[in-house]
Amino acid sequence: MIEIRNLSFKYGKREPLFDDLSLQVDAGRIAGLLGKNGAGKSTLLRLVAGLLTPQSGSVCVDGFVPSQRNPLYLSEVCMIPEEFSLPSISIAAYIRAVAPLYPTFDRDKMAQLLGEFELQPQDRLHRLSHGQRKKFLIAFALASNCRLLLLDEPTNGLDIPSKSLFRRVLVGSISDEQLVVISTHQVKDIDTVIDALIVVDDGALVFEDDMAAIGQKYLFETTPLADANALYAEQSVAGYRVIRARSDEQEETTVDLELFFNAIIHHKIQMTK
Amino acid sequence: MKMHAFFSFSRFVRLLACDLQLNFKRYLLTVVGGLILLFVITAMNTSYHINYQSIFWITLLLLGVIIGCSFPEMSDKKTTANYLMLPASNFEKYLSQIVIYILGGTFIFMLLFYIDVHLMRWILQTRHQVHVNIFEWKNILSMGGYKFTWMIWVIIISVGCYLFAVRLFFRRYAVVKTAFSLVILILLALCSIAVWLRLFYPCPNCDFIGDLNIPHRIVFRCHIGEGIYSFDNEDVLTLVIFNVSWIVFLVLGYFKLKEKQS
Repeated sequence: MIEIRNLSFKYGKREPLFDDLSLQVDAGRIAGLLGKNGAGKSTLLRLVAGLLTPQSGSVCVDGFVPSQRNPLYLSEVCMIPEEFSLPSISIAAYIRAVAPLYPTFDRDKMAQLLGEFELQPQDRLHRLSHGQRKKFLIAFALASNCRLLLLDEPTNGLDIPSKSLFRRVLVGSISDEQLVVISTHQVKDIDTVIDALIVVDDGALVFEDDMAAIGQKYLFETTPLADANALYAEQSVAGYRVIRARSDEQEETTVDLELFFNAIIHHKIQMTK
Repeated sequence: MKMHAFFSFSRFVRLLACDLQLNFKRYLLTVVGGLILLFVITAMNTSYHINYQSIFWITLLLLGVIIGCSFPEMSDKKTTANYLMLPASNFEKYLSQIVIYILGGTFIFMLLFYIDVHLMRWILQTRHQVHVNIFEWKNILSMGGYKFTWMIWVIIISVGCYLFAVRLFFRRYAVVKTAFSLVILILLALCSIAVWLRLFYPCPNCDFIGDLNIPHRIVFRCHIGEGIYSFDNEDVLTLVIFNVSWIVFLVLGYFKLKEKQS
C-alpha cells in the first residue's frame, strides 16, 4: 500500500532529515512508527499524507503520488496530526459539514464511537479538553473508513482509561483493507495493538518487521543478574530486562517494545529483513 | 477520470457547503458587522445629501479587506494541514474561495451598500422631510467617461485579485507584507508605463521623471454606442497591464495553493 523508494527530504537549508529511505507497508496492518525526538516520524507521515514533497525519491500509496493531492487519494486518507485546531462549532455540525466529503463515512459507526468515547453530538468542539478533542478526531478518522489512517501521537493528552479505550476501539474498527500508521514515542501505549514495527533513526529506516516475527526471533526476560550473552540489557528495579536470541525450542515471550526500541537505537539489534 | 480528479461539480458543491458550515459564524459576523459599519459610514458622510460615490469607494475598500481574508485556514500551520487534507482538488478549493470571497463578497457588500444608502434615504425623507438625491447604479459605477471607467474598474479588479491571491504567499505579518508588495507593484506598473513611453514615444524636451502624460499618440479609436473613444499609448499600456495582471494573479495563486506544503 505504501511504497517509499530512495526518499530524500530536508527542510530548507537544514541537514537532510531522510537520505535514501526506502520502505514498504502493506494494507491490513496497524504499524507503529517509532523514532527518537526529531527522527522525522511526523515528517514521514506528512510525506505520506502529501503535505510535504520529497526532494528526491518517490512516495506512492495505492498508485497515487500523495504530493499531487488527488481528491480520490485524499478521500481515502485521514490524518490526525499531533497538533490540531478545530472550529468553534458543535460535533454534530462538524460531522454535517465534513463527513459528506468522505464517500465511505459511516454515521452509525460515528454515533457508536462517540458513545464509547463519552462525547455528545451537541458538545461544542472548542469547549472540549485537548484529550476529548483528540478522541473526537480519532472517532471521526475511524468512522471515515479511509483506507489509510495516519495517527501522529494519538495517545498524547489521553487519560489512562481513554488510552485503553483507544486501543480497544482501534482494534475493533479496522478492516483488512485498511492500514493504520501510528507515530509515537510512547511505545507502551501501542505495544498491544501494533502488528508491524517501523523504526527510523538518523534519517534512515533502521528496523522494519512484524511483531509476530520479533516474538519468534527474540526472547524478552527479566533476570536478577547481568547476562553477557544477552543481545541487549537494561537495569531495572527487578534486576535486568534482557533481550536474547530465541531458539525454536524456547517458548515465545511478550515483546517488550520499549526495550526492543532501545536495543535498535543502540545498534544492538539490526534489521534482518 | 483525469477530469474528475481535477473538478467534480458534486464534490465542489460539498466543499462549498462544508466551508459555509464550518465558517458560518465568521461569515454571519462579517455580514452583520459590514451592515452596521457601512451604515455608520453612510451616516457620517450624509447631511441632507448622500455622497453615494464616496460611500461606494469605502464599500470597495471594506470588500478589499474581506477578500484579503480569504483562505482563513491558511493563517495557521495547524489549520493549513487540515484544509489541504480535505478531499477536494486544489482547483475546487481555489474556486470555492473565489466563489465565497470574490463573487459572494462582492454581491453581499453591494447589497449591504444598497440597503444602507436606501435606509439612510428613507430616514432622511421620512424623519427630516427632505428631498434626497436619487440613487442610480449607473452614476455610481461610472467614474467619468467610458474609457476612464473601464480603466478604473480593471485596476479595482486587479487589486482585488491581487489581495485574494497574495493571501497564499504570506503567513506572518500578512497585512504589512500585502500593503508593501501592493505599493511596489503599483510603482512597478507606473515605472513600466514611464519606460514604455520613453522608449517608444521619446520626448527630447522632457526629463525622465517629467510629465508622464506626454508624449501621447493615438494608438486606436473605437466606437462604443454613439461615442468614439480614442486610446493613446499610455491608455493602451495601462489597460494591457491591468487587464492581464488580474489573470496572472489568479493563476499564480492557484499554483501557489497547488504547491503549498504544511
